[in-house]
Amino acid sequence: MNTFANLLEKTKEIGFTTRSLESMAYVSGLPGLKPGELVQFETGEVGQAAYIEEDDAEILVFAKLPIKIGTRVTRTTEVTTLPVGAEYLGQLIDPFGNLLDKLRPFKLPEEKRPIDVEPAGIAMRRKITKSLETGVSLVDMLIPLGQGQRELVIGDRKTGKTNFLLQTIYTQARKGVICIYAAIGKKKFDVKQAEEYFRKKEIMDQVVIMAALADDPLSTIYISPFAAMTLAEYFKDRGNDVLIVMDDLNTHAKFYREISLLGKRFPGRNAYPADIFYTHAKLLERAGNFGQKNGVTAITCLPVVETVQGDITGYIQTNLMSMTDGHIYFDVDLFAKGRRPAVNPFLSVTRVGRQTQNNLRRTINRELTSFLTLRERIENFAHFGAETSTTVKNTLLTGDQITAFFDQTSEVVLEINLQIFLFALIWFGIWRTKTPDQLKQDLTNIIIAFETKTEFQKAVAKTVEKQESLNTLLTEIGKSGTKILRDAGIKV
Amino acid sequence: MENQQDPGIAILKTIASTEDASYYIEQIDRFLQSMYQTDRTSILTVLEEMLPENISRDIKEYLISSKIDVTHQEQVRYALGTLQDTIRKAKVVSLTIAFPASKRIVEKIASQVKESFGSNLLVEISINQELVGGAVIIYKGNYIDLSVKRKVDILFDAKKEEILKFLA
Repeated sequence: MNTFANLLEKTKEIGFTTRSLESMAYVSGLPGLKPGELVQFETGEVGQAAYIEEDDAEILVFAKLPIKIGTRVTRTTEVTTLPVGAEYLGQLIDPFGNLLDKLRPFKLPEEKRPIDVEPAGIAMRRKITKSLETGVSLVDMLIPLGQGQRELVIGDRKTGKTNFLLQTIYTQARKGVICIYAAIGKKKFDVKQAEEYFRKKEIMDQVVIMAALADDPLSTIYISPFAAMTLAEYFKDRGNDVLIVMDDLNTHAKFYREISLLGKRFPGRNAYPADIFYTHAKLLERAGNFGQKNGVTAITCLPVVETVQGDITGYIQTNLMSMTDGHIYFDVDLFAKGRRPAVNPFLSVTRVGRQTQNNLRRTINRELTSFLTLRERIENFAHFGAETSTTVKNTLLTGDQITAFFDQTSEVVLEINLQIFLFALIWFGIWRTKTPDQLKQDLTNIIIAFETKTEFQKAVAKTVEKQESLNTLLTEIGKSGTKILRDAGIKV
Repeated sequence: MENQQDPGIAILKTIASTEDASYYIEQIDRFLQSMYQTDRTSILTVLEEMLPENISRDIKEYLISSKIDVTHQEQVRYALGTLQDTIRKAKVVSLTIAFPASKRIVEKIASQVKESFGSNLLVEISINQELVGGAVIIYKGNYIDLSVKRKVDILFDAKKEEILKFLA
């Protein structure tokens, strides 16, 4: 057992706390201390050497209460590590690997990994070729993602970011992907809500929730995304594809700023420390698509960042945009208009997702994007009350139907085949004579039928998967679309 | 070239422990507060009257070797402030022993420590009876345990089985 006395006996180095702040202590002595090394205080708390100067060292203390001045401290000769293992699947843990629910007995895994490691080099990385489904039709069809992509989820608070992330986790967990939800400085209530969602959807055995709660020490919150990434790397090395959600890095940056300012480091823009870009870039660089002995495995990372009043030009926001492979923007105005999800496809970007799509999906993506742009333009001048031609009316009607199709509550996730099938039905004009409300009702019936009827699922898959282009799909829909629906007992 | 030593360091050599250093600093403070009396008489006379003989002698030598004009109050004040700083900043060797030591023993220990680690150090003595005998030395963050307790612990760990058998 590594008690203070044992460590002192082993390292023969001692230090004394000379100054103490919240989550930080300055210690003198410890001549051999290295940056990142763990230290142990005689009162049992542990800390990590952050900065080392000639006479003293700054220690990030993983304790809620400040260390008393004069407290003795010794080295451990170890860096901060996280126990890693499959035992964590289905658990709610803190950034040190302990269960948050301390009442249950739990044996920590024996394997440990350092939480702060260098990202893998270029030789280990592979081109992103596999698509990542989110189950949200708007994202899958317009802003597609790939496995191993780092996609920023950005938007004001309460615009449905977390719901989208939970839907994505649900979709991916059902496909056997290991999902890690890193809650950074969140309220216990929010974390519990996420846990309840996973349990209700029966995917908890594929999910690990790593939570650094809002009342945890600054240092614990600071290391939490690194610890979550370490766990993701463990599963990746085991041969599993991993999806990691970091909710959110804005909070992380704020806590890091607090630590830096307490440490009297020179403040940079918006008082953030000068190395905030480096810190986040080093973290996100650990995600990607990697070639290994047991094949190619991916860590897909969805970092979240909050905006204030829709301002996406903030310091942390633009930093993260530049280090990710695109962003999904949740628009507060669209949210106010009742759009769910409130994703603004014109301000969202995906840099690698399209390369993972097959020809059919790519064509649909292209068609939809140009159609939505056209519709946006037409809507703008239709406002003037000008007499509209039949073509314009049709465009607006199809636009409304597409909007109704993209309107998706957080409880619903759609398989990619169903998304394409429904889009093709709309594009073909099956609901041409119906209002968006009637269309919505029909869509709901189809979705329910898809979830319950295997035959219908097979028919949809057969129709969609064999098509090479949108034209052949529309021809097929024209021939057998209504029949497939009729066979499934759906009246449209 | 002549090897000129800092006069402050020379004084440090004569101070054994942190306790002595505090006393020294306190005496200098006392003198500084009495400097107003030098209006009537010379600084050196006040120094001799106010402070213990050994301290006043050391300070006098310090002032002379620092080439301070002893008729100039401000110069003396500044020089003694610097001396106080030198004493305050001196490196400390912390020594924990098992029994309260007499002044003579502390001086003996201090001279041995100064011989081993350097003469411009101060020794801080603390007592911990659990050590039984010997000492624990802490210097520049290095921890050297030369106590009887540790020797006994090592012996106990090595011969645990035999000892427990014997006690049973």
